[in-house]
Amino acid sequence: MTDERSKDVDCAAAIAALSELQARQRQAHLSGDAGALTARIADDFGWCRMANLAAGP
Amino acid sequence: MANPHFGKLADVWKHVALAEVVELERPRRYAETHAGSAAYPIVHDAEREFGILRFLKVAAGSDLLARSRYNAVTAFWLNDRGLYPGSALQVMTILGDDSSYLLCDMDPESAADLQYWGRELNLSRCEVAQTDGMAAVAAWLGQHADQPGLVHIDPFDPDARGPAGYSALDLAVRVAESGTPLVYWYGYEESSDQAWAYARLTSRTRTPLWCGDVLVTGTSGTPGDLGIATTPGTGFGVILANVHAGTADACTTLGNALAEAYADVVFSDGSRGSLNFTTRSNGQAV
Repeated sequence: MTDERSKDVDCAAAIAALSELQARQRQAHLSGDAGALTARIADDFGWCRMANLAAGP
Repeated sequence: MANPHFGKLADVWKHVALAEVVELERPRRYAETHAGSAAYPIVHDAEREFGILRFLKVAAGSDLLARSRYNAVTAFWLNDRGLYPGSALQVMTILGDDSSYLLCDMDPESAADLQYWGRELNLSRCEVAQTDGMAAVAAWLGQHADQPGLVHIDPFDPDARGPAGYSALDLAVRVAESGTPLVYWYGYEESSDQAWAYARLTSRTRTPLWCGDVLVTGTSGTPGDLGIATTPGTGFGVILANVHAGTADACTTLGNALAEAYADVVFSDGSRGSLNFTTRSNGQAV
């Protein structure tokens, strides 16, 4: 039981540390390049919507 | 809840199969019951060195793994942002705005992360529900059923019932019988439990299922513990329902390639072993 509790504590600490890292990462990413990122993903992964937009009406 | 086990080998196989299924089935609607966070800053520890970081190295020497959708998606995010993409971000990256999304997680941090990346990718139909995923996805199944969808169930506890009374296994049976494509992930910590979820699901539905199971084998005396380390005796697998035969075949090919790439591997505890990849099927996939 002690081991299980200690695992729970370890897991909770790991999740808390992870959440903090994620929040910092999101903050760091607020650099206004979201459009460029989306365009590159659309290009690399062939999003149809982006292809249709590029083709025009 | 944020998945503290992201990027470990069990996560790798889950996402290898999921990404391939999504790429081949191209659902117009995607729902996930336990989405976790969208993205995880990569960490360089023994388990990730054995999991995603080793995968990327061995994929460079394996045509099959190199061509996998998982390899492309994961390499993109790691190289570009230093992030490991969770299930939802894997699928968003592959499908973009061609699909709508219902991403469920009770954890507010995870929900915030999913919303953030849905906005960043300009997805116009990305709903994040901070609620019981089993109930939300059960309700979702009945909506717009004319459009091809896909449900991903990746539970912490397969038998825990949410407020609506569904467990993850209950929902998996319901999804399988609805005709909607299903990806269900399970794990275990003793070799006697190999493919346990397949046995339980086939006892509850006649819908044809495919199961790709990875059992870690070796001589180490370390007790199996999926949550701490990838050790002999631990294992994990993916169950598919209502997918095309070619999709299950593609996952079989990738599972075999993964096992081959990890043959006689050194585990994080220093011992040697291998991955035993097996498939099970109780009928022709649709």
